[in-house]
Amino acid sequence: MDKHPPKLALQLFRWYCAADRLEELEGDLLEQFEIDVELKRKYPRLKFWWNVIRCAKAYSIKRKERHKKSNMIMLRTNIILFFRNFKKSSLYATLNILGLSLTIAVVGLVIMYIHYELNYESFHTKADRIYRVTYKTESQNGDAHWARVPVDFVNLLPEEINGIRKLIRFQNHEEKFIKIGTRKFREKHVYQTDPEVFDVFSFDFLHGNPATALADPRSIVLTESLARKYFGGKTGLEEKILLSGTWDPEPVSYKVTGIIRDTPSNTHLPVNMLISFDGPEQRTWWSYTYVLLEAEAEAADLTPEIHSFVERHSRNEAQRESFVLQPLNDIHLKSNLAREIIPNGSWQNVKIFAGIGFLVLLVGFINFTNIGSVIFLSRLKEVGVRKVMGAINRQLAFSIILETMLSSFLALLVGGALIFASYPFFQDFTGSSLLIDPLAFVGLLMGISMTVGVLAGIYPALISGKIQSLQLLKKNMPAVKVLGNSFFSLKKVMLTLQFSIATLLICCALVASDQFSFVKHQNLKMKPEQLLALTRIPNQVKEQYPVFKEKLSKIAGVQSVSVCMQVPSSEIRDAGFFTVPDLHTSKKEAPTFDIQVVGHEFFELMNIELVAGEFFPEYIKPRVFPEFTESYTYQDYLAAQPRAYLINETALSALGLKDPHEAIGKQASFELVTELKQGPVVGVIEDYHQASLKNAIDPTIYVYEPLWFGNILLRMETDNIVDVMDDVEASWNELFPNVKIEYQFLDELYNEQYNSERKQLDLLYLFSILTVIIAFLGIFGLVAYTLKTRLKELAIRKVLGANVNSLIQLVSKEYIILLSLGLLLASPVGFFTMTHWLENFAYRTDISPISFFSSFILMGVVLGGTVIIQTLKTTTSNPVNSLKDE
Amino acid sequence: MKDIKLGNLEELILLLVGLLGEEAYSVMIVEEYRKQTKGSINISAIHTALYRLEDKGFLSSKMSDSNAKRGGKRKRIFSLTSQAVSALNELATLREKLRNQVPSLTLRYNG
Repeated sequence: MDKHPPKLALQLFRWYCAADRLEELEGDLLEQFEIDVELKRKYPRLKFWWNVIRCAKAYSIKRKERHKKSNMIMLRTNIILFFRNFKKSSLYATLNILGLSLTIAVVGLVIMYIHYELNYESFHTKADRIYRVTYKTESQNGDAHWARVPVDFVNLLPEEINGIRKLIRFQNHEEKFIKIGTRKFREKHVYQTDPEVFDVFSFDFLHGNPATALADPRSIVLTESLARKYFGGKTGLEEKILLSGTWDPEPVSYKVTGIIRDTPSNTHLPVNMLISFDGPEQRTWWSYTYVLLEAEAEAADLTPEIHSFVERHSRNEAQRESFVLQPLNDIHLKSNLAREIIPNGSWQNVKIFAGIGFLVLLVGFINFTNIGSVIFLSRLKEVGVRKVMGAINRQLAFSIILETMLSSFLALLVGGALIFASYPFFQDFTGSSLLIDPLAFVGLLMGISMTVGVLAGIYPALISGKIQSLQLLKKNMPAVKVLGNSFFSLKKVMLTLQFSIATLLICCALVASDQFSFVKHQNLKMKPEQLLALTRIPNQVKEQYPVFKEKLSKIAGVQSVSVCMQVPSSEIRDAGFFTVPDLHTSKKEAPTFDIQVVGHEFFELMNIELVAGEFFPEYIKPRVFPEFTESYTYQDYLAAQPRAYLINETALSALGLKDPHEAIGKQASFELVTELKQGPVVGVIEDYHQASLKNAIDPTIYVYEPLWFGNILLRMETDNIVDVMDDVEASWNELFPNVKIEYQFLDELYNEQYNSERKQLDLLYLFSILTVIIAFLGIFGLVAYTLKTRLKELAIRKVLGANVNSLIQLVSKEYIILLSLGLLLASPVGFFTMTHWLENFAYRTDISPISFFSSFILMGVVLGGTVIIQTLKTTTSNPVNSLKDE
Repeated sequence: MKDIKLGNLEELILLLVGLLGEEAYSVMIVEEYRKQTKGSINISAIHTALYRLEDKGFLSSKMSDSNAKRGGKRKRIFSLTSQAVSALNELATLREKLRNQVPSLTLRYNG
């Protein structure tokens, strides 16, 4: 018989048995086994196994919970200790939490902004199946890609291509003039569209039936807010609205058949009203066109089919046409074609802000870790005592990480409050309702702050586990000796990084502001602040323009009056072929030029000078608008009028001419809707910026055509603008009682062109200032602490005759080295980034070294100020005070 | 009479501890139990009872010196506390007194 108990059973027993019981119990089991063997009882080994299993009872099993329990008991103590320490080093702790709160607030706002940008169109439930049909033309004279489509065969897409289920047109997008009773309104984002629009797009119906709302001609669907504006408390259903477009001579009555919820602001296709077609014959000409694909169809697979479809139908000989399908979700960030409905966002901006958010988070994290470890240093003794009292490493780590997490949690609360408080401003600022799921948002912020909390605690926790408790308790043991150099060099690396990020952001903000003011001041020649535009005039105003002009000119304070198609500040939106028979043998060689329609005094009013030739000749003069009929169309009329052309310098060189006088007298014709009659080029004008400086100056021709007038311009010379405006409005209402007047100052219009840039710049400023503040808090805390540890040294130096200056030098030396390193790191990165950014602009400043120097100086002042003030505070006190404390 | 919270097995084990004197530890108690009652009991039941009684104050214990047996492990020797002694006596007296007051029962068993 085997005299040894089963090994495995014994191992099992040793594994589960608590240490304080192990000896006696193991002995008992062994002895029992020995007795069983000795007395030759049956199955002693089996019995041993049985006993091992039976002995696994409350009295013997290792109590893991015993440690956990003590952690929980310590939890209370730890939290109390946290608040006591907070009180003790309240300055640093407050700095610490404040810095992280700012960080969290910035990061939170950035997250909201990015979420908003990435969730365009997400309210359309079929968004992943909706594509926009865009129109591309290619010719020798250049390519163009349009957001809308002018060719009517696009309507055949669903019939001829299998994967396309529906096609929805949004056309007739120009501003509409509304009359309800005696009240007049103007509305943008009003489209004529197909009845099935609600099957494709998820516009939310509050009243009315989406299936039939636009089925009948002369039906109209409004948004909730418009209905409230027009009809007050009533729903508005069945009400009548008089509506006229830019081209309609007489208003038409529409019946309200549906009220939809306002579209969220994050859509490229904002909708205020939707109007039904009178019949299929209206589904023609330019239209924003969307298709809904079959559930299983892939846009990429359809491309060859669409290609051959266009080839089959295209009648255009001068240009090669094609359609490109754009996923609805990509339009906001990735499109940017000609004639977008509203300006697009850009991926670059999203990336820039994500980058800024990350940098701020990094600075905030560094700060939190740095000040956190400063506070930790002052508590080394406490760690020592805890160790001596028997705290194991795990418990120490637990308590240290718990404290950093508590700090970061407090920061989260403050940061959340900051976000909450700044939310309305931010919303106002970005012009958007930021739609983010609050739970996910809070969760994300919580995740970030807790991660920061844990990460910031890990290093001190690891360190405190490694050092000998005796060293911690020794009096006057310098922290460097205890913690080792790596602790401090890590801090220096982080500080350098922090310096360079702060410098980088300031530097970028300064370069961006340089560019912004450069762009803004380019337009000053025309003195836009004295220029008023009566915008988007309807047909009846165009018709009566000569009479109206006469009236306006008589108003005291109005210096001159003119008219044009595209108001200066907005991009020219029409282009056609400019054929000069002397230079081009056939129409195919003709270049595409933009067209601007202007009245006679336009160039004088805008301070634009002639380079050669003269302005419009005598025979170009106001005309009475004809009555258009089947036999005498719009096109017939346009083709018959006598013409004279002006061109700009860019157009001159695009024609291959150098001397402007060469161009004068050359015969030319222009084709847009129809071929305009041939006429001479009478003048060349200097280049000016029609739109913002983001756009290059395009080759442009200028013609006179009252049918195409769009905006009346007034130059005023008065200090009393209000009176002049009253007079202008009175004469408008006298002549055009049916139409609401709308006006804007040209400088405002120009500024609007830079709205998104200005907002970006403001945000960049805000974020870089916050970063500097956060960095400042960090430096402040560090310097203060370093001085505290060197109190005695400084006192001795002072006693031995050092003056304050030399002390400041001594203290700041280290920081100056770190700062210089940070600047060295930031400069190339900043230069590279900003060069890249500036490439987006057609006209740009050079990156001036001043921006870099200013940011260096700013950082230097912040740092120097902190060091000097703190050193002064420390060293002006009597050295005896710090020396006698032994 | 104040309550004495002792179970049947516990009382038995206290008696066995008293009986075994210097040799009162779990394995010996198991063996003695077998010998006296002709029944058998698992050692872990004895452990449970011993630790419980110690917690209640009826037993005190100390570790013995080690010897070659039982793999050189020391054993925990239990001894009765005065509380245990008086409790045992009291219980015995009580039983005796009660039994004597039940004549028929005495008769039947004696007969």
